[in-house]
Amino acid sequence: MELLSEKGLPTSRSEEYRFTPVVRNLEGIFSGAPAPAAPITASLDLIPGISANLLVFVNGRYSPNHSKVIDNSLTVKTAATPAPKADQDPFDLLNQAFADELIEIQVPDHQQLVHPVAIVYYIDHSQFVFANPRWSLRLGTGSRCTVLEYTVASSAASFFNNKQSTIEVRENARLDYILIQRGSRDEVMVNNTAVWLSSSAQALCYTCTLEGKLVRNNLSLILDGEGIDAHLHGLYLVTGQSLVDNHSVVDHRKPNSFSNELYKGVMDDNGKAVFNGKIFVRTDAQKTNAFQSNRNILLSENSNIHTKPQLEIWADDVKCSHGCTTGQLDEEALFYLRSRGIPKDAAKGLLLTAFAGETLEGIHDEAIRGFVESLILEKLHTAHLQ
Amino acid sequence: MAKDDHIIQEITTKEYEHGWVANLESESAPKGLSEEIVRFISQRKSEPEWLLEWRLKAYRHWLTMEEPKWPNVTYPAINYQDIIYYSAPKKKASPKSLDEIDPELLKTFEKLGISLTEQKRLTGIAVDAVLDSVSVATTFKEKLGELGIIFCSFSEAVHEHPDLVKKYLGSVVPATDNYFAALNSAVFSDGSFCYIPAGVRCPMELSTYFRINAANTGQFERTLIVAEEGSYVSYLEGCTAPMRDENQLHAAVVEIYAMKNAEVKYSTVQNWYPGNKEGVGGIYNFVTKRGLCAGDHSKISWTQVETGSAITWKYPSCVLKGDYSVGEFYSVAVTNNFQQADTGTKMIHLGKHTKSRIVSKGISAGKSQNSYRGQVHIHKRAVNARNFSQCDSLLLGDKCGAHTFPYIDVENDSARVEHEATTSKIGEDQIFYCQQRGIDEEAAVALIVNGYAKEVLNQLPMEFAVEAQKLLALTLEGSVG
Repeated sequence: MELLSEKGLPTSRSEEYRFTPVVRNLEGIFSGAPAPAAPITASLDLIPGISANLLVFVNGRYSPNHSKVIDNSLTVKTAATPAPKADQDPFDLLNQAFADELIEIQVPDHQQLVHPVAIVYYIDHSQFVFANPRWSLRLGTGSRCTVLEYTVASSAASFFNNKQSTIEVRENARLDYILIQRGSRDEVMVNNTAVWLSSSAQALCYTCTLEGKLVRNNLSLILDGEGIDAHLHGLYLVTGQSLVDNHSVVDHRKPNSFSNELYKGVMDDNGKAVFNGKIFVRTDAQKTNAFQSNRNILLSENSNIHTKPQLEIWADDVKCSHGCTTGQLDEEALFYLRSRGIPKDAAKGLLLTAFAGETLEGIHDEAIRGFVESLILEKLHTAHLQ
Repeated sequence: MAKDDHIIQEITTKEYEHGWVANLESESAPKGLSEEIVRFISQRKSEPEWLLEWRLKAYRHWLTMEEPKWPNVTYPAINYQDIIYYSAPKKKASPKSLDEIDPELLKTFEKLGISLTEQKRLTGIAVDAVLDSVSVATTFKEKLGELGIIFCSFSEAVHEHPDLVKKYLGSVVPATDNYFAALNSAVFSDGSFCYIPAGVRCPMELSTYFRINAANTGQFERTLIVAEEGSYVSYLEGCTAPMRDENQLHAAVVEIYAMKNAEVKYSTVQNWYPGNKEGVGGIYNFVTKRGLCAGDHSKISWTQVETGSAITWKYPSCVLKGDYSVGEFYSVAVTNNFQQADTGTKMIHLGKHTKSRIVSKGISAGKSQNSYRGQVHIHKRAVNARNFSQCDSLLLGDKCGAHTFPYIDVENDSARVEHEATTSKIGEDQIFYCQQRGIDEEAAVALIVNGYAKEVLNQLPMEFAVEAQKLLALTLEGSVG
């Protein structure tokens, strides 16, 4: 807390938070006291028909009573939070000031989990909740694990979920990390996730933002080994008064790795989105291939997008590229569909679905992919096709 | 790989060819910066009261500002009191013709390959030469005067066309715009002024040549170009400096004001002394360049070839205010040894149907750092704005860095903005392909780099393109034949 008060929370003057007034959104509603736990009434299972290892945080605190581990090899422990360091993100420090425990999740070496691990944030809706969940996940050598992360809250709930997590993926392990953000319209969410990858690890990180008043995702991938294959996909459908800010870092520290980043966004109403993708290629990371693409569609007059794809390269034998586009739906494609008798709205929906759908490639589990797709369709349907 | 190392070594051993010092008597202001100095400069140039006031206002504002820290460059703090802010070659009286100009001075410019004597009339370029802080000669004045074009030194313009200067000075880059622009506004000593009347198409290329000669001086010149309705001008700028161990500061301001249907093309070949191969000395090039497309259908195009300077910090920008106005930015930035460049552009779309295009090619070698930083801002009112940006980086050697910081802010839903960037080294397969066909490695690298920069070099006027190509070849000598 001392470090934090020295540093202060970021304002719009700070480069990293230029367009995202997190603090302004918190003013007035900040009560600070952690809310008491209440009995859970809503269903915590996200995907019908898929059973998962359920790890539940109630109002930011881990609740063993509500959690349910069905894969025997998975261990979940409670530990003390580590000592804070000065170079941490201000929200990380804020979390540390309030969180008194760290949930350590471990997948042992050479174990392939049968069921996904679902990390659920359950929010009590009776009053404003300031939640500070904190967890770490370690995938042992050669292991495999799918993580689903989402919030369960009633539509009236208003809360600030300040989540911090680290994931360590050891040699030859494979991580599928799927984050679905659709808590409630009044959600303020800061999401710090750091993923450390060792040699020959594989990872897919998928961030799907469908709801929330203000969402800030800090996702960093540190490629600290050779032969790593990393994919970052993201989709943000921003409507109403929402602001969605995705900051990602891909840090290539060792040679011969591959990373591919694809983030897509559709903005409507007064929706506002920020994308900042950093790719670092350090001096040692020769033979790196790193690609990044950010594509946006603006549907309404008042929507806007601030994007800053950033490449910083200190090695010469690399292939890196980034591309970024902002535009509208292709008039000609729309005309083509309409000339074949498809009504305008349906044609628009079809094109948007196709646009959003590309990000889903890479999710291996068909049930999960199908479910995320249905969420996207539902959102597109309510937002644009009435 | 051994061959690569060899090539890189050759690149890094290339010396600066304009590194001589001309033996010119000069008179200068004492070191340091204060209101006195600002008054001294103003008085020395017998400026009207309003201009002095303008300078003082800028100076007072500068005092309240802080040096920007955001560029991706590192350098020791500049001691602003250790710089001579005014240095001028001594002259007897103002020269009526070129015959009266100090022969040493003429020699200086002949060494640079710039013809002040109008012998080389065939080259057809009007030149305004600025040595240290003062404009020393302007050629082809009469011929231009027949068309109503005003092309003269800034101090001359202040005396002869005070209304024009007063109207447009600071209209694009206000005196309080940024740290270095404010400093320039306070102490600028000379520069070029150019006014193209309505409907006139300037028949020749206009050119300014800057040279820092005296030691310990900073150069602060100011260029103002006003293009009236329907006019056209192509403007060239070149610069060199002697080799010195200390760092010298160059903080210039260029303003372009384009009315309805006017077109201005501004080309720069920047070849300030970059410092030696240990990174000692060289020019700090902190420049503010901005063009305002004030009228509908106006167009401003920036082309730059940046090979010199220890540190470059420069973002030629376009404010697209008029409907259907067009902004363009073409850049090749080469850094070698310990050079650092943070350069790019800003395209501010305010008017409807405005278009902009950015093509930036960075080449880094040795231990240099090369950054592209650019902003494309589509304002809410800018209906149907269109932007295309491309910024590529080429890395030669494993100790250099390439960085891209593009900011894209879109507030209008009818805008189409595209941005793409790549970073790579010259592909081994590309070199192999050339070698297979009997082209040796060095020639192959030359071929590839030339092809890489072609898109930008093609934008330069003929006379400059030749110089730029030569410069590119020299800067990367060894890899470019």
